[in-house]
Amino acid sequence: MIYTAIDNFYLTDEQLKDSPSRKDGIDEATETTLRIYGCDLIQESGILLKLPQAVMATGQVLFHRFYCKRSFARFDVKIVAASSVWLASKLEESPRKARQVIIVFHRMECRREGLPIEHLDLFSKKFSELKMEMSRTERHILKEMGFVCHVEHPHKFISNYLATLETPLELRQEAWNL
Amino acid sequence: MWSDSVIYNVPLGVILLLICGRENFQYSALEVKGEDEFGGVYRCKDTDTDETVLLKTVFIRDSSECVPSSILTKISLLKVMEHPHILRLLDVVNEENRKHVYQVFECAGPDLKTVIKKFPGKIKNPKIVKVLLNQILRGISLYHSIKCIHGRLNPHQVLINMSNYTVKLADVGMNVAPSYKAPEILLGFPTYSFSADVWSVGCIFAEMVIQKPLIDGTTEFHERSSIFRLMGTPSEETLPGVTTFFKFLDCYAKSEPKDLATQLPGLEPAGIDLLQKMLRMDPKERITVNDALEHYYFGDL
Repeated sequence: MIYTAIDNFYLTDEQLKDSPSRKDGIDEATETTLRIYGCDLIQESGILLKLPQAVMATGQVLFHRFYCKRSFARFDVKIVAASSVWLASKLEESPRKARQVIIVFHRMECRREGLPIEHLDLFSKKFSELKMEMSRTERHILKEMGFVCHVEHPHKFISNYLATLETPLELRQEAWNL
Repeated sequence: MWSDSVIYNVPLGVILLLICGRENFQYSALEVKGEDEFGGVYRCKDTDTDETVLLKTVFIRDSSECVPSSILTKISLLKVMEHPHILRLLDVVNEENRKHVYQVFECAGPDLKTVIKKFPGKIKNPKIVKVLLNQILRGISLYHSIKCIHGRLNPHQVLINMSNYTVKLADVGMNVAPSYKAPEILLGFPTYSFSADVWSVGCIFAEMVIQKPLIDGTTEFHERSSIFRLMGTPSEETLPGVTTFFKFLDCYAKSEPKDLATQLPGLEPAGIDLLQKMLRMDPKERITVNDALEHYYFGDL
């Protein structure tokens, strides 16, 4: 049988320690905080966009992978998170329009930063700038990954293995929820 | 389509400008392989390395949506598929303000359709047919091992290097000829699976043996009647669910299944047996690609 490495994004410990952000003077604690912040944004936007959980998981993986190659100092966390959700929604075959993603992210930004929630005009300069920024970032992500952007999630394997090991149902549910 | 007979009045330089939008593009067009409203396939020269490549362009209809989701997953998987019998996707070009995504494939020999037309009898030798079929199946088995269905397999996608008879499966064709679609697709079943590819391989196998399409037809109607003439009109027993999903079964003449051996006189009995298992109306009864590779037809390879 021929074996193909479908999931082939692996990094060594050294590469992980010596991330691009580190070179720009961002310490490890800050990078971790930013990563958690980005993933939180992706999860929240996914719920607001009524996306299945698989899309959020894929988006978060894409997000992490991108910042293994590019620095937090050069690419804005919010925009990359938005692009990741957008790209993941396309990959997992439940596409959302760029417009929807932008509106959701705009609303989240207003809410999190305590600003008054204002409607984002679709014909405003801000909207078209955000849209352009997002598609540019998507292009960056794709280019960085060399267009290899599918993600194999471990959930189905875990569920199988735990079922084979005859573990309690709660444990399986807990693993599935991760 | 994938033939050399198409004559275009537009000079290649103009086409190059049209597809690339600017002159200093890395790839320069040599020949147009095919075009439709979604894009085209061109044989190009990589001006950096002087190598010949196949360039497939996909038109992005809604430019605000960037790379369309329909091709994203496919590109992503093709990019990591490294196999001697699958055409390598070398590069993907997607630049700002372009209305196309370009996929750069390695270049390989003529496709099976052209080979049959241009070199009649060249691959008629039973031994060669066997070698070619084996390679096609091995390529498809990679697709299936990563839970992927090729879905558009036809002789235009089978590229053959005529010097050593190596097959490369491509995914660059344009309009899929209906002649190679599995009956469950033609009859409007809501789902289809890996077995649809096996049917297509079966059709290609037969075409290599008799040097012309086994099932012929330019429209889906003719296509269906051609299948029914050969395999017999399906009923609930031979193809469960057919009366639910296909309402117009009465419009087709009733016919009985024919003996494949009389249709393919040049094929040895082992080959007939394999072909019969590949061309089963019921997708559940069709042989899987890996079982087909184990079939005793390939015993003397």
